[in-house]
Amino acid sequence: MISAIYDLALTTGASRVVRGCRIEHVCGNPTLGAEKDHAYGLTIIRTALGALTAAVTGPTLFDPTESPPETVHAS
Amino acid sequence: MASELRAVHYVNQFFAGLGGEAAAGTPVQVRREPVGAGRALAAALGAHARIVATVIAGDNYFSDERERARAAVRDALRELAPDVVIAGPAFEAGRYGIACAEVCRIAGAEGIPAVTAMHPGAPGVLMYRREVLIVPTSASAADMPAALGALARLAVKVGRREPLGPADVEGYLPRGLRKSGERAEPGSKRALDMLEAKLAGRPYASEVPYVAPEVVPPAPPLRDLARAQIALVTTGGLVPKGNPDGQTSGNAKRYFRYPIAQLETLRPGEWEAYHVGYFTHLVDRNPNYVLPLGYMRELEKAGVIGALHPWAYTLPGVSTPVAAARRLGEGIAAQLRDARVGGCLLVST
Repeated sequence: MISAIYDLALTTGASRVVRGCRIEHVCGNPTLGAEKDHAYGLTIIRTALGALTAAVTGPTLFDPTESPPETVHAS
Repeated sequence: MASELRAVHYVNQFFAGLGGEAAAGTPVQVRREPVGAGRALAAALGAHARIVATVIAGDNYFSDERERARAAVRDALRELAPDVVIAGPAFEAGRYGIACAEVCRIAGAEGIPAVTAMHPGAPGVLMYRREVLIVPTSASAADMPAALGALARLAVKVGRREPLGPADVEGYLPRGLRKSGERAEPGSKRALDMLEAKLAGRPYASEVPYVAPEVVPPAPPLRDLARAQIALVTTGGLVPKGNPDGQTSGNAKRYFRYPIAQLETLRPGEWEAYHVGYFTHLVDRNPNYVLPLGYMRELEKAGVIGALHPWAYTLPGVSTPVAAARRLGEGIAAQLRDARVGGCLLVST
């Protein structure tokens, strides 16, 4: 689920929780201007779709505002 | 002193002493006396009520010949015209508990007060707790004396048609009903008393029982997003402009689904949010904030997802009791499952 009140969603046991922007505009941010708003919204939805493909064992937060961790190979 | 009530008792073949599974096909029969467990019940009722008849049916008969059994019980109750019907106790029994609850429902439909008793986890409770007065018992018939005492007390009360107090006071399982009433102290005073008791470590009882959220195991991950059908659901109260279906703005009893197969995005002026829990002006300007159809179409075209499910599901997720939310969620989930939807994005405001 995508929710701006993501901590509540996690507390009540939702398995895959995506951090939305604000209660009044969960999947975007009108203050960013049209272009950036669109890009941000798309990132939220991509994060949500990615969450569907992730194995989780319990309530897990997926945060679209964090860049995914880079894979470092030690070789 | 109140006059002696006329009670009818319902028992299965086992508690009537007819036998176990071998006698479970016994059709409905009526005996004009207390039978089996009914003798102890008669003792518990004392001078307040007399068991004028016992209705007996085998567990399999009541379950397999449901309509016949129900009709026979109804006919018997019409003929006997008792003041109260008492069924069981059934303890943890599955078929017997359901039969007891159904006998109580039949009595209720005939205008006869009725009460039964069984374990809170029994199937009869799960199915009928909202409709039937059920005294909680332990799982085992070893608890018979205590169960009969509680059952008899409540039977006399409902038989006399005395007003029934709250479940925890009267000793029956909560039916999920709220009744208006007056309390001696105002809410502010009661809340402060409760807080004081909590701080002092004294016991107190909340007036709003806490229901722990159900633990739902996570669904396995989607293996192939590019082939999956994805659905959109929102609790943001989205409705077509003008709210043509008359959806409520909170405490939803229903959800609605709307066809989106022909739509590329949600346009302002065609949709609006009807939701008492947040300021909806921004969603009214861009409905995709709660139902991200535009983004999903982009990702569908790019091949990120297989297809977007042709229906969008929506309701206002505010002031909704957990039980109602569960019922609505189960309905949506069942429809998505039937449509072979692989994954779902739920936007919650």
